[in-house]
Amino acid sequence: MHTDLEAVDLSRLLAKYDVYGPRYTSYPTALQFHEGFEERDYLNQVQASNDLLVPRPLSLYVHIPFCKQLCYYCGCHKVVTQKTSQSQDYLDALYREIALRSEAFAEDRLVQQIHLGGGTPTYISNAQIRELLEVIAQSFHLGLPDKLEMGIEVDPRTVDGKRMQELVKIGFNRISFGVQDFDPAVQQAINRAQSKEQVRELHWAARDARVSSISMDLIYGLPKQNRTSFERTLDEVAALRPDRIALYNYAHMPQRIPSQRLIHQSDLPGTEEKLAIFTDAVARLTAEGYIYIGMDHFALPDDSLATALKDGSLQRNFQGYSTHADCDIVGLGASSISRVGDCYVQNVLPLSAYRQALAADRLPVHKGVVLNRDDRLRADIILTIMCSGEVNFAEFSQRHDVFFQQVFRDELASLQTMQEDGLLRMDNARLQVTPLGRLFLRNIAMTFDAYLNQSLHDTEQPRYSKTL
Amino acid sequence: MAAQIPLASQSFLKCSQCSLGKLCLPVGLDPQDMHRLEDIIESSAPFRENEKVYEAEQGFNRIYAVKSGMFKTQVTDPQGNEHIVGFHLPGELFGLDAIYPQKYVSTAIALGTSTVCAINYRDLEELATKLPSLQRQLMSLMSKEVHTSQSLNVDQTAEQKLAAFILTLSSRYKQRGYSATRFNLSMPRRDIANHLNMAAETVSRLFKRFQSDGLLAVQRNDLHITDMDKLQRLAGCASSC
Repeated sequence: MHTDLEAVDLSRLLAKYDVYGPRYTSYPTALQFHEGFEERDYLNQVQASNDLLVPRPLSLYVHIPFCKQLCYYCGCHKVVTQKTSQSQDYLDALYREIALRSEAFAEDRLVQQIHLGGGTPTYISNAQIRELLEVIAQSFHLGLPDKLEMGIEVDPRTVDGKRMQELVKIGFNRISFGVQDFDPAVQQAINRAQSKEQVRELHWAARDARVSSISMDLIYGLPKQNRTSFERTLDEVAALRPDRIALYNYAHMPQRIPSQRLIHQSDLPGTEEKLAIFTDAVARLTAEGYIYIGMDHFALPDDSLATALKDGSLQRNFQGYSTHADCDIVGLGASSISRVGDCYVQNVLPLSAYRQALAADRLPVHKGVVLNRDDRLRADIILTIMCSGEVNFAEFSQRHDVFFQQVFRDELASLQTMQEDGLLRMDNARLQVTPLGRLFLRNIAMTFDAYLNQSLHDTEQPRYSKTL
Repeated sequence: MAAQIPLASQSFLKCSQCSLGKLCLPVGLDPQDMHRLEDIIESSAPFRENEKVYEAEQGFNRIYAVKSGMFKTQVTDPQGNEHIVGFHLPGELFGLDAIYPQKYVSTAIALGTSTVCAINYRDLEELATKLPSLQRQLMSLMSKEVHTSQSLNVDQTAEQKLAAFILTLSSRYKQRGYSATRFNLSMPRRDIANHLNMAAETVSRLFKRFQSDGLLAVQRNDLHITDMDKLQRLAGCASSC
C-alpha cells in the first residue's frame, strides 16, 4: 500500500478526482428519498421481507439526538440542550416506536445487532440506556448472546471509567469513542475539548471490562490541523491500539450546516495538506499493522471487519462499514434511516413531529424510496465496489438475470480513464479496484450512479461533499 | 432515469414461437393446426401480484395456460381457512378442475407479475374433436394434474415434504428447459408453508438447515440446489421425483 502510493503521481490524481460526490452509505442516496413514500409503503416492504424463504435477521439502529454542547463540524441530526428532562419525553416516544415497528416483523426475525448512535447516546443515563434495551428485548426477538453485537458511541466527555464498566456490564460489546483529534488547538477550533487522559482512562476501563471491540473515530481536514499535529494524534491512537479506527473526511459545507460557519475557512488545511494528512495516516496505520478496509475505515487483522473484507461479507451502511451483510436495518428514533426489503425510509427529525406521530400511533415516517430493478442492480455494483472492490461479471449476471457487459456497456467504457490512471483493472471477466484505487472508491462508484448527472447540474449549491 | 432493463430470460410469443410449445397444448400439432389453436387463444394483460384470475364458485368458461410467472390456486374449507392446492408454472394449465362441476372450485391468484393464455373451454373441446393430437395432449395434461395432486397426500416428515416439494419444482423447471438446479421460488414462504401444511418458521428453519448441510443455497427467493443426490435421498422419493 505504502509503496503503491509513492510510486504514482498522486497529486495529479488527487487534483483530478477531487470532485463533489456521495459517500454511498446507501444507493439511491438520501437525495432520492421522497415524501410520497408513506407508512403503508414501509409496511408492505416489511411484509415482503417477512415472506422471503429465509428472512434476513435484523440490525437495530437507535438514534439518541441530544448533545450537551455543539461541535462545530458536526453534520449529524442533533438537538443541543442542557435540559435532560427532554430526553425522557423522547424515550417515551421511542418506546412507542419500538413497539409499533417490532409488531410488523415475523417472530423468527432475530436481532443480531443493536447500535446506539447520535447525537450523543451517553447523553442519557445508564439507567435510561438499560430501560431502553429492556424495551427492545420485550418487543423484538434477540439472537443468542454470542450472536448479538451491541455497540454504542461514547462521547468521552460524558462518561467516566466507572460508567464505562457499567456499560459493558449492561451488555455492550462494541464501544466507539468519538476522539476526532487530540490537538488542543484543533479541539478549541471545533468546540470539543477532551483530554488524552480522559480517553485513555475510558479506553483502559473498557479493555479491563473485556469489551470485545474498541473503535476510535478521527476526522481529518479539521481547522488548525496539519500533518505534524495529526501525526501526534496518531501517536496517541497507535499507543492505545483500538481494534478499529474510522478516519472521516471533514466535509466543510457551511451553506448546508450552519454551525460550520463558526469554523474559519482560513483555519482549514488546504486541499494538498488535507490529502497529505490522509495519505500519511494510511501509511502510518498500515505500518502499525492495521488493514485499510476502504474509504475511511481501518481494522486490526483479527478484527471482524478485516476478516469480513477477506471473506467478502463486508457491507456498507449508514454507520460506514459493517460485518452484517445479511441484515435488514431497522432505524429507530428521530431522523433514523431504515433499510428493509427493497426500501430506504427515514424518520422525521423535529422532535415535536416525531412525538406527535407516535402519540397518534403512527410510524414517524418522513420520506423514503422503493428501489426499482435498476436501482437494485446499481446498488449491488456500488456496494460491491465500496466493499470488496471486485465485481465478477458472470456472478453478477447470474444473480440479477441480466448480461452485465451489455447493460453497463457505457459505464464500463467510461471507466477506461480510471483504468489508465491505475485505479482499477478490467478484463472480460471482472472489474477490480487496485490498492491505489481504494483511495478513489467514491469516484469509481459514481460511474454507476444513475441519479448523479441529474443532481449535479440541477443546483448551484453542492449537495454532496468533496470525494477526497 | 435509465431505461427498463429487460429480463434475459423473458419472452412474449405466439404458440408457434413459444418456447413452451413442447409442453403446453400444441404438442404434436402441425403448423396449420397450431394456427387454429392460436385463433381460440385470448391473451390478456399481465396479472399483477395477488391479482385474481377467477374465484371459487364463479361460473366456468375458460381454462388457462401459464405463459410467464407463476399462479397459485387455493380452496377455502368450511371453517374459512385457505389451503393452497397448487402452484402453476409456465406451460402448465389451471382451471381444469372446473370442467366437471362447471364452476371454479378454487381461486387462482398471480404470484408476482404473471401472464396467461386464456382458452374458452367450449372452443377448445370443439377444436379437440377435430384435432386428435390436441385431444391426446389435453388428456395427458389432465392426467398429470391428477397425478400431482395424489402425490401430495403421502405421509412424510416436514423435512421430507419440503425436500420433495423442491425436487418436484426442479423437475418441472427442467422439463421447461430451465435449470433444474437454479430457479426462483416466487411464492412467499407462508404460501409454501400453507401448501405443505407446516409453520412459516419451519419452512425457513428447514431452508437454513438445508443450507448449512450443503444441499442448497438461498439468495432472496432464488434457490440453488448444490447437492441433488443428497436432496433426493432426504426426500426418500425414488418414485415420485
